[in-house]
Amino acid sequence: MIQVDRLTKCFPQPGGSVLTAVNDLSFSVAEGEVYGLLGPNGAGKTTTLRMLLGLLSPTSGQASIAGFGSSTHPDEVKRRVGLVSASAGLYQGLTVREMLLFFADLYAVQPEEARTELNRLSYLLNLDEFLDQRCGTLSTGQRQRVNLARALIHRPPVMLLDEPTLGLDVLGAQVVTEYIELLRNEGKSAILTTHHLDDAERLCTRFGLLHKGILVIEGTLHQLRARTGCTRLVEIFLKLSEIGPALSQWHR
Amino acid sequence: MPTTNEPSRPKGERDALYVPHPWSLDSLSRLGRLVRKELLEILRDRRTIITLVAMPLLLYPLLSFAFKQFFLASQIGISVESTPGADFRIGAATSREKSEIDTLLHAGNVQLRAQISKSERPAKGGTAGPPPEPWLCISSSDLRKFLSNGESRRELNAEEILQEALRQGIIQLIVRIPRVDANAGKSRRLECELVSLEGSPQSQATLTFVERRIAAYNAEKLSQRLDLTGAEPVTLLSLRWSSVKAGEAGDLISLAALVPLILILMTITGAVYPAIDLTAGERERGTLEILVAAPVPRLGLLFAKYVTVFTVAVLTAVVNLVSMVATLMLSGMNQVLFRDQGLDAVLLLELFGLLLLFAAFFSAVLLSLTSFARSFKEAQAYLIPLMLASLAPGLAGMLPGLKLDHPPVMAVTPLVNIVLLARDLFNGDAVFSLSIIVVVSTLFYAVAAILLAARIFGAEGVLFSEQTGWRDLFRRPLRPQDAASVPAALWCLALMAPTLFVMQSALARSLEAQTFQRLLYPLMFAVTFVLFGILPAIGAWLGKVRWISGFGARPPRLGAFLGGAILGCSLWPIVLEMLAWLNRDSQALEARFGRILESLRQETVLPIAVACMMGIGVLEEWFFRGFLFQALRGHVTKWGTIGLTAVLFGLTHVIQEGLERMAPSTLQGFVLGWVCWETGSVIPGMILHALNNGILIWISLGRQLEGSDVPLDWRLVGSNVPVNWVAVGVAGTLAGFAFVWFLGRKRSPATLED
Repeated sequence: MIQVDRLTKCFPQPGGSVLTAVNDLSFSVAEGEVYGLLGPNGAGKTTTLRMLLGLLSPTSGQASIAGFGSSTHPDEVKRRVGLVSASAGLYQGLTVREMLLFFADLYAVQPEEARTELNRLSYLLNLDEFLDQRCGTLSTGQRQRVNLARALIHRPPVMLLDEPTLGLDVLGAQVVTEYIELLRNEGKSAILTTHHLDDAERLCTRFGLLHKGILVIEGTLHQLRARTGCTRLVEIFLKLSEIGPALSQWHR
Repeated sequence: MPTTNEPSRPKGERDALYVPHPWSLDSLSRLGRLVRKELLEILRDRRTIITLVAMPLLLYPLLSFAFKQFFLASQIGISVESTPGADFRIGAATSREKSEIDTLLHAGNVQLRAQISKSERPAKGGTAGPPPEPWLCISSSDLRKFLSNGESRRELNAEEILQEALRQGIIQLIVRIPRVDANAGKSRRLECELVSLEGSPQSQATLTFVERRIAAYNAEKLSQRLDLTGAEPVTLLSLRWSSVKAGEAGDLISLAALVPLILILMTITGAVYPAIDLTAGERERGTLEILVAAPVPRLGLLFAKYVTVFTVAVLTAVVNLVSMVATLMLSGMNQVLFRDQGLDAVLLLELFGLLLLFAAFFSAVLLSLTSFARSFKEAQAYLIPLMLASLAPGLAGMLPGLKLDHPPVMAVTPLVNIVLLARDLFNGDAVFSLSIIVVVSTLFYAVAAILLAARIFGAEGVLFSEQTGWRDLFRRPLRPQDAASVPAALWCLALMAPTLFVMQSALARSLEAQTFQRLLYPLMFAVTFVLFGILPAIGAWLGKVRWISGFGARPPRLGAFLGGAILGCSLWPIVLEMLAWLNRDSQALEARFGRILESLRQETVLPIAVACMMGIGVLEEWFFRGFLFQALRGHVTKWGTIGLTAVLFGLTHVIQEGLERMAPSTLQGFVLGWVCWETGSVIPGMILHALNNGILIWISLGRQLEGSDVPLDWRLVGSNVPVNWVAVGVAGTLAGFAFVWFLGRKRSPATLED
């Protein structure tokens, strides 16, 4: 469903140097698979997702979703993707209902279908109580639930989840992770980037660890354990991100 | 491995609720919903309401109050002598007239006071004496010493002194009263002349003051005559009005003309907040990324935002206009400011139309600037200089020396042209052809600004500024393109049309010199070469456009060459006939072209002129049916492409040569577009255009054709083309169409779609 082939993105820097945010990245995500794209801050996770969605053009390589090239057919790609991002905002002046129906309209969902889907999502994500409230008055947890609903209103087959639980309390994060599980069970493909490695361990079927734009390791949890000798994802992460040794020294 | 070929629908999509269908700008209802959402959000914001409603409602009454309290008072307070209460200063030519005016005004004043005291109960204990009479009448001999030094030194007669004193604001009105004819009958009528200063509210106020007293004086005299039938004769005064224009050096800024500037500024104020909120605000709130992640063209999103900003700007303009009119009416300043023309419905409609135009232009400019911004603060930082920069041309436009056609660049200078047109409308001397140039050039700029905004809005450089730079916005594409982008082509047009107008006007003005007469056509060709030849070429290079496909320069079939040549030789009588019909009553065209053509009726100039005009035809095709046509055809239908190119071709000629060129040039544009589409090449059109231009300029230089009594010269424009020539033209045109259709069409529709 998702193909990334030798994707590279370089950003020219003020001094004339070049920052390679993503370097020769290749991976694929099958239908019904949740792929955990992990890595420390600045590893290139968000840049990868933006290139996948056609919001950034790659310096080289290509990405495609459902066979459509992100650079060549960006609209076809966008139709098939729901983007949930921790940095995504809401229209403060619109009610939750108005905002969700507006996005349904942007994705050309028929009004009747949009209303049905809105009711379904409202029930599943527990939006009923604030559906007619202005978005500007919502709490962080409520906003993120609305964001999830906004990304799902057109029932995309592919989800790009960029740190969807960032800044949420335990209860809010629980709702989101449960819903991601539900999506996985529905057979949607997803890429999840998160710093909550426990959640990732629970939700993702395969993992790719990015470090400084390079895919350091990829595989199922079982494969990663076999290759690194670590049992938990967090240990693997620390080991491969070159953070572990420094922390060990500090502890001594 | 990934593929970019058309894929089959993935299995996962069969369960999706919705089968996506392409977003289309043709779907007006969706665009309408997008606009509705933007408007809903903007109008729910109290900041919008403040600028939209509260400010205009408060501003105009406050302005009016301040104007009345301080401005008028300060002007009136400039007293020639220390005469307390002398609010109205009146000039008289002689001492006799001064004395008569004083008597007259005094009588009128007494009468008015009597009327007032009749209608009012006397105040308790009100024993105060009558207030001092509020006018001061000065004779011309006394006025001389108050004139500015330069004027007082000159030998001026009484009339000149009065007019100069009026212009310098020393007096506010001149009153002329002729001598009483002693031989007249019982009832004598004297024609009293009141001379005011154009555009001066003080002068208008004094005029009203004097009129009321003369009316009261007349009423009193009439009642006397009724009471004393057969007694001594009664002298009644009739009025005659005239005005003096403010002089060149000492011109006052017309206060009435300040009104459009205030309205324009208020309209800007209304549009600023929505423009920032819908662009930079989107980014700051984090909604821009999810918006551009939706399958909607950026131009569609931007256009909805543009319509929203424009709507709010127009709403603000309407509220301002209503508030201003209500304030003027209620405060009585309408009469002071607009006494001559009055603030009537037609003027208000014209002003509203101008505000619509201004809102269309400024909304686009605002959006293009705020689309650059990554935050609210950054947008404000961009807009403050713009607001200040807008004030300068706005105020410059109020200066009396500046005119729409002098220098010519004024007609196409953004904002200045609108302010100048507003001033001309208020003064009642707006020129229609110049108004058209203002409207068309402003619309060109608006479209260019929208296209720029669409390119910037949601672009990498703005959306992810932490990762990318501005250079990304202007980098050349990685892969060669078959045609230029529509924004690039329209940007070229927006640059070239006003520049062409300015250059041609400058050339026409320089015709006085003999050297320039010889160089006119070569210079015109040079200007056209730079604008229509080099500018699109630069655009093509920047856009990495393939030269052959990007300019439609594929070799056509032989029949296409022939068809183009036949049409080129046949179209001119039809074009001339159309021009003749459009200008049947116009002497302006003759006046405009007569001098040019007289200078060109020389054997040495003729071949050069013909060659240059043919070259200009080729260059115009290079851009219109080449660069622009090929850019449009990928996005618009066949007739949409032909029609849009033809209309833009017509509008460009309107800017160059006036409104009468719209219909003939658009018709030519249709024919040329159709030929280009059918032949799949710009080359037949180039032949057509070159021949058409060559023949038109040839006959314009007074060549008499055989079989015609009428010399086929440019004066045909003012009379009808001989019928036999029109018939030959129509037959030739039909033959040309047939050649193109049967022998010149490209072999397969796919040929051009490659």
